[in-house]
Amino acid sequence: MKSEVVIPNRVPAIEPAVEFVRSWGLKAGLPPEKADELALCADEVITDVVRFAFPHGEEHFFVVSVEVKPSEVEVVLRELGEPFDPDSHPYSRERALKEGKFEGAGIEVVKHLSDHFLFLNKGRAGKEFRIVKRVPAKHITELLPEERLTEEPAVSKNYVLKPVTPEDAEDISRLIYRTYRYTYPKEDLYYPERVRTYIERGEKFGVIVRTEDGEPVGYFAVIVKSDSPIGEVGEAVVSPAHRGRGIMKMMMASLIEMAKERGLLGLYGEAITVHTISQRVNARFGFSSTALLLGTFPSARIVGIESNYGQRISVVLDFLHLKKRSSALFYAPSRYRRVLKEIYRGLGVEAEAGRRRAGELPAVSRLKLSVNSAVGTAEIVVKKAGKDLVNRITRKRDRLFEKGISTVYLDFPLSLPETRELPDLKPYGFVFAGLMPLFHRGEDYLRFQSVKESYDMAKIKVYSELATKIKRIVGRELREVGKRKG
Amino acid sequence: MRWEREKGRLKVELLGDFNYERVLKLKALLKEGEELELDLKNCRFVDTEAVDFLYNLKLRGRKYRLLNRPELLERVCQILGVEL
Repeated sequence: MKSEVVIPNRVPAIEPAVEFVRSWGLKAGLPPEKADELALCADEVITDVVRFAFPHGEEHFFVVSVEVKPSEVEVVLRELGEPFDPDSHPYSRERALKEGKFEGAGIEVVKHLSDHFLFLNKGRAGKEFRIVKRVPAKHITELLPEERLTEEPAVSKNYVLKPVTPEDAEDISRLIYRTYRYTYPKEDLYYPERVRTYIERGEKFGVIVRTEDGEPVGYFAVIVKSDSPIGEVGEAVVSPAHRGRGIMKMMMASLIEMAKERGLLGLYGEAITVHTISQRVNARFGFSSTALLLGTFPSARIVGIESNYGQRISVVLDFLHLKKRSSALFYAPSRYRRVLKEIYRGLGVEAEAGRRRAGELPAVSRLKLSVNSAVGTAEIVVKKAGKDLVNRITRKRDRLFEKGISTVYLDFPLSLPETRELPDLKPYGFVFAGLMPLFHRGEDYLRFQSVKESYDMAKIKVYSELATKIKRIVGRELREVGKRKG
Repeated sequence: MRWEREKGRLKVELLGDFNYERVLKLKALLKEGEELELDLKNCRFVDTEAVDFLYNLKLRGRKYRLLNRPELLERVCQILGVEL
């Protein structure tokens, strides 16, 4: 859920804007004292913008938006004021104590009271401040004793599958813990309150499988994408003692039907590449590989599979169209047209490369940035490429890397002729990732990626022929940008 | 804000958070040499503009008294390494 307000650079506007942030913080489930901390962070940044971002006496406006997720609240402030870099004005305690000068104090407080703070200088497109506050919740291990968490239910003759309801939240967290202990990459699943909120808000739907005694042994859910009518088959678990009994198959078949009933146009899975099990399950249900996404999750020890993986976990994006789609027209740089056609063909789509040339580019690009600080990734969606594109994306990426983000994904619309004329992005550290079908606003996107750490491609296991081809291109380009190990 | 003057002392009760807007109002209200008594019972936070204002009063030897300090003020002072 996202909400935003436009604010004039006037002192009386500060307090109502801060109240807007505080009330959304409370609505997101922050306890009052945490909502106050978020409000203070917003106050500091908004006050700085009102006081210093614009020439004295001129009326300007800026935007404050709040995005509420079950696990966090993100406040984003965007303004088109004068250039400024908070890092070049650090707070000095000595200067404050001796001279009473508190320059940089506001940002210092924001850094301490927020869970994640990011400042982005976007050149002519202005500046952006991002403040994240996590919503506290109780981990499943704080709610149930260890024996209740780890007790494996006996094998059942019959299994019962039902759509998940908010009441299943605790059982889902328990099942995740029993199967993966602390190593499942989607942290929210260990928090029943968050699982419940996702289900209540309709942001995910799924199925749960129980034994005849009612014990949960399988769970599989679709997370509905917020900016496109597609969903991710994102959370799948079958308790070890109950594997090999067709539970996964039964759940996937139900999910596909449920997704169709809800009018989704497609489903995608981010199958981890530590092994090929998930990729094989996806392939069995008609999914086709479209991209290899590097470093999607932090390195984790996957129970029973790999003791020390040694690099962030990459995923293969597998996609399944739920509505028949026989043809597509796309605009892509010539070096990727062939592989894109093959990827489309895997999806059952005969794609044709468009020949229309782009008009003159505008001076300023329109970009949309989303940061997932919990897993250390960011996504930049290019809505309209401009002359400043390369400069903007490299600066943004460098800044994100400095702030602890490990992978930056970069999406270009394949429906726009500008994408056909993209320069080679490898000299700027961006390599091919693949096709993101229907990924934003129901349209196809060409994805690139830039990674902070180097990758050993031998550790990335892929299953399908298409994924192997994509991996080869990604590996070759990674070597060219000096980010390939071995 | 509510305020009254009594024997060389300005007594103020803030009716919201202690932010830049209220700092400006207080600056306009406070006379040279006057003591300040500030009731913060309605404040959920005291921002760094207000900390700056109060600390500079202290630095100039002006007397002030804070009543009903919000918890978040202690945290901000701790972050900035100052005492008010």
